[in-house]
Amino acid sequence: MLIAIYLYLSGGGSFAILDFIEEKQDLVAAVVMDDARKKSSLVIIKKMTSRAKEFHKQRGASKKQAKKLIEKNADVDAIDNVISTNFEQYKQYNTVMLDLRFELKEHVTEKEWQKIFLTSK
Amino acid sequence: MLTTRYIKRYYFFAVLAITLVMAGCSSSGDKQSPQDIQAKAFNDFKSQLTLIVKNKPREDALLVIVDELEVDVNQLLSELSKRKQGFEKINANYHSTREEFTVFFRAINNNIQQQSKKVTTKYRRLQKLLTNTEQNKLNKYNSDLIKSFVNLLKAA
Repeated sequence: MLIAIYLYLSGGGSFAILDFIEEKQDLVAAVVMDDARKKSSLVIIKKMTSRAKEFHKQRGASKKQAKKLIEKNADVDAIDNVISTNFEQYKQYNTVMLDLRFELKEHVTEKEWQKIFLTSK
Repeated sequence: MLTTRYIKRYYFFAVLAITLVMAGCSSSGDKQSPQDIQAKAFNDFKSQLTLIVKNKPREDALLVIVDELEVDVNQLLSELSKRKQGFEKINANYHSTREEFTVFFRAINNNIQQQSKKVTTKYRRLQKLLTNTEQNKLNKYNSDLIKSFVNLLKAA
């Protein structure tokens, strides 16, 4: 049962707070009028999507590792280690995504930004 | 020394807490509010606990811990919700600086980590007071609690 619930929890959607930006791709395409800026913005969104996928893959690997350790009844330190590694990956991911968020801002006007991000997801 | 079973159960909850910290899940179709579902899950857990634990002093101590656990879980969920909403608010402001994001994340993640530790510590105390047989009997209600936490996250 332990593992079943663990997997159930692991199955839910997006786990990283910055992911929602890459989900705004369609809105960016619709709102940013200038072709060059639109193109640059979409390249950045693509980078965000790619980084998000990479992060989710890492997280999936950590979860698998933790699951194995749980099954083997590994000691507390081993599992804590997996969890803290995962948290470090999360912090790095957040930093990269924030960099990209500011990069995106360079190609979007204030009005466009409001149209994209003041609407709910 | 920890028994195998104890380690399993402790980590079950430890992993849950970490998952909650990082989580933001998909939508649910429940008609009851997530808060109602969670409150019911805690009440069911407590009712079962009083039926299963036959030793009165232990039962009283356990009920106190469950009440404290409920407060801590709600606080953790609230911090997670604050992080999501706070981030969206800062992000929506075109003029927000990198420093504002950094300060926000540092503070909120610190709160989340501390709150998460509180939850796992309480759960650990709970498990210490339960026998293996009692823990097995409570497992179903335990998983209902977990589901109720996930429901609340979905609604956050």
